[in-house]
Amino acid sequence: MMALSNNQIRIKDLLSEDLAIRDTAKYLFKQINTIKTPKVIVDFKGIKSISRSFAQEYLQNKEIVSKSISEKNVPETVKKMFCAIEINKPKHNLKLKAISLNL
Amino acid sequence: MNLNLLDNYKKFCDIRENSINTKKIDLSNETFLYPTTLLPLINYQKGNKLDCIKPKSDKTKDYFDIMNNLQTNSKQKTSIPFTELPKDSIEGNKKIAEIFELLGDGKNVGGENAFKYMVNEMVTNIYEHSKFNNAYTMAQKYPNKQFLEVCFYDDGIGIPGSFKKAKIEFDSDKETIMKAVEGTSTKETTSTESPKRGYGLSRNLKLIKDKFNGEMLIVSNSGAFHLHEQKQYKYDLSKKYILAGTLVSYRYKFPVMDVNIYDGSIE
Repeated sequence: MMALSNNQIRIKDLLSEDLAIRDTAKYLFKQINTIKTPKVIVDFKGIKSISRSFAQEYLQNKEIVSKSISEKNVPETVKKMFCAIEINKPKHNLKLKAISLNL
Repeated sequence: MNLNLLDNYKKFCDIRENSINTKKIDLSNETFLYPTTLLPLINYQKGNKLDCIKPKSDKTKDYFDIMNNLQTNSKQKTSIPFTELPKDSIEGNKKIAEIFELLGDGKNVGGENAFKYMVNEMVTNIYEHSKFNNAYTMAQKYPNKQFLEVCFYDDGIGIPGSFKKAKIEFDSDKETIMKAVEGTSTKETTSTESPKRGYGLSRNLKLIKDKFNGEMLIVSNSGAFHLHEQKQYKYDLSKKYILAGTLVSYRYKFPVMDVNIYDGSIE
């Protein structure tokens, strides 16, 4: 299966079924920019997991890229991760009490 | 008795120290080896090209060979042996998919979402912040003891180095690790290069602590952090225990069915 065809990009074939590392999202958008059409469809078929970093990078790039990006076959787990990021609540810091020792 | 993660790291340090005089890794009396000992040990052995006296126990020797990729495991796959994470991130992404497959996509160990989320965060940290030359992972599911142990090591700049790069000074390495696990972001500072390492570590710590009631160990340069039985400990490390780079291990009991990570835990 070709990862790129016409105005579509099949993300599983380009990268992996598990989308983990932030840099690979940047690579995805480099590939998207090689597509000549102004509208690009990103096909998430077969994607099993997505990291927070990948999802964040994807959404950020989608906002700034000069093409219209739409998605299809987005699995529930990916939708939930996109939502978790788009909520964009202020980051909470944990307050940890730790016992200090020497080793 | 199951040694905890810190004890297992200390075992690595003991073996490493003994090797300084003998120029050999002596495992002859070892009867049980966990990833948190084995991963830094194999890296140390390979890096220093040291001979190894293998365990006398056949079972332990076989296990050592399997985890060191000297022998294949013909039985059911319950482990990820010493596995290098490629420097190229595209290849790294493919390697992660292989790792997931080896551990059954997280079935019974928190479910696909939670298991993969935690591994992804760890691997992402390594690729984004460590500036590593070498990075490795190792994991073992213990069906009888009913727990999973996952370990990562990279020889990069370490958490203190990551903060230093962002021009954030701390009194000790352990304090930088504490800030990282508390989720300190340096975005508010004028620095253009934020360590950001805290994000992944703090969310993972929260999941391990609150959702899995598990254990976590982070060792980086001369500092360490240990979550054990819901208590946190931070350590200044003496010379014997210092580690160049960063080691992160976590351990939790299974079976744990699908843990919901989308309930605010990862925001």
